[in-house]
Parts: sequence; C-alpha cells; structure tokens
Amino acid sequence: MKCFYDLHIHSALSPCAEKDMTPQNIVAMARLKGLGAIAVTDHQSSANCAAVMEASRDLAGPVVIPGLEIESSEEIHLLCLLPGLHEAQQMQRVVRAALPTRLNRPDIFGTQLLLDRHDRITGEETCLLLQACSLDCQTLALQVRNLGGVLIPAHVDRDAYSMLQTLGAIPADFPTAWLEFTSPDAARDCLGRHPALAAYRPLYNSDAHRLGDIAEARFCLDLPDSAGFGGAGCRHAILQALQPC
Amino acid sequence: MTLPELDRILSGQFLTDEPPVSAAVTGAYACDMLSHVMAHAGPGDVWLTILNSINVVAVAELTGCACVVLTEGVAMEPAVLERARERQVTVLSTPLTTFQAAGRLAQLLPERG
Ligand SMILES: [Zn+2]
Ligand SMILES: [Zn+2]
Repeated sequence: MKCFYDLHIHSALSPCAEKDMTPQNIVAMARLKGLGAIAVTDHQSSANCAAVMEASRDLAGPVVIPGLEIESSEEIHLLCLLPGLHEAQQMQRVVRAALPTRLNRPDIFGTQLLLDRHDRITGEETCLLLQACSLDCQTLALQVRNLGGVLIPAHVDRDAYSMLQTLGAIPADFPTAWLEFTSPDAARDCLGRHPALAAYRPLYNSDAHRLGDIAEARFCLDLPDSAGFGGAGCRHAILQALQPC
Repeated sequence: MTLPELDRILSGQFLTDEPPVSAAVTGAYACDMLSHVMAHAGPGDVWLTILNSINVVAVAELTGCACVVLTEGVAMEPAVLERARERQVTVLSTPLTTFQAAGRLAQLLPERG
C-alpha cells in the first residue's frame, strides 16, 4: 500500500508560519493535494496537533501524525514523530522543561497561535519557540525512542540548523535509518559531497510554513496492506517504517 | 567607534544601507550559536558570525546589536537582506575570518566583563 506523505508541516503556532496555517486549512489543503498522511511539526511544541487531528476526522482528511520539530542544544533541527497525542504531549513537556524561559516578541518573530479544530484562536504561546532547548541530539533520541517515536535529522541538505552542516557528518551512533531532504535533487547533491549518506534512506518533506507549500502527492512510503487507510493502524505503520533498523 | 567606520576597519562592505554617522559601536560579540547570542549580545555590539539565515536578522533585532558582521565572505540571500533592511538591521560582509575581524576590533574596543 502506497501512502503519499508530507511529514513536516508547521501550523500558525510556529512564529515563522503564516497565520492561515490553521487546522482546517492544513487538512483541506492536504486532502486537495491527495496526501494520505501528514505530520504537524511546530517548533518545540505539539500544542496544535490535537486540533489538526480532530479537524482531519471532521473533514475526512489524511492520517495526522502528531509531532514537533525539536531544536537541540547544538541548534540542529530534528523531526520528531510520535505514535499518539499522549506521547507527543509527553515529549513536549520534556522539551519545554529544557527551553529557556525567554518570552516571544511577536513584533520580531511573529505570533504563536493556539487553535482549536474549528480554527478558533484559543490562546497564544508566550514562550519563544524559535530557540534551542538544552538537550543534545543523543539525549533527545533516547527520550523519543522511549516513547515509541522517531527522531529524524531535518533538512540535512540546508545550511541552517542541519545536522550535517553543524556537525560535519551524521554521527554513526545517532539512531536513525532516515534523513530528511528538501528534494531528490538536493539529496543527490548532498550525496555527491558526502558519499557516506548512501547508508540512509531519504525522506522528502515540504517543511511548509505556507498553505501553498504543502507537498503534492509525489513521495510515498510503502506500508504493509494490513495498515489500512486512516486512523491509528496507519499511524503505527508509518512510525514502524521510520524506525531506526 | 562609529558604525560607518566599520567597513574600513574590517575591510568589508555594507550589504544594507550605509548606517547613520551617529550610530555608535560600543562592543563586540563573536559566536555562531544563536542561543548564546540571544543571551549575551547587547545594544551597541558588533556581532561577528558566519550564520546568514533569516533568524539572524530576528536575533539581531532582539538583542539590539549595532551590526551583523558576516565573516569569511559569507553572503546573505536577497530575501534575507530585504528583511534586514525592513527591520533596520545593519549587515556588513568581510572576507576576514572571525578571528581576524575580532582581532582588529579588540584593538579599538574596551574589553567587557
Ligand atoms: Zn527546521
Ligand atoms: Zn520546519
């Protein structure tokens, strides 16, 4: 069973995302694009995941995997995907406890909107999400693994916040079988400069901060047919497929 | 030291508009970790870095530093520069390494505890 995915999408909770990245809009756009599975991955927070999951149930949208994009103490972005809301909330608590208590400056970074399934604004996150937490990649990987999730180095082909750029390599002991790239072209380019990356499998996500940037149905995961469409079974199968071997 | 002297001192060039003559430089901070810069850089500082993402502009604004100095000839994408101009963040590019640039500034600025 082929499942078209975009597993790195920011909602309006991320200060750098557009305000119309609301649960209903994200779900409607993903459905329009023909995606089978999406993940909501805001910077350092999973607070809008529940609303997107509910909106997707309301609108018969794609499978929604709860997650967050964690910025480690090394200032590396890591795509964190979790099997359920409970685990996502637990991971968020871990990250939050390791986040400096600096307040967001909406005039500089943008607003951090908390939304419900009907796109109503329920509040604003006041702590700045666009800053590193004090946990390093390895510590985070251990925590995520304990919750049954996966932690995948994000946009490794880019200059900013990339594990490859920051550490100069993907450490052999970092537990991942997958790396996220911006596109197959970028991955090829990267592979030319770092042949060792051939050992990893590529995941292509949009990292959308705007509705129009959500991916087309272009990249898919091969899931066992038993996964079925929609719901917990599919979420489980995707998480299973992305586990470090 | 005033900001308009900085291009000469660091053998660089301003990527944003020439800063006003009255803009003063009172210190400098060299670091490529945004979390450290947020915590330690301040108004009047020249910030030496090889980082050039959009968040560099935000952190410069947050800390109120006088100028972002991109060392090692690092460039800034037009969209990011546009953002810097909008937010009145001054950006200078120099071919010097961070060490070389810091060395020149250290001779002209008081050391800060
Ligand atoms: Zn990122
Ligand atoms: Zn992202």
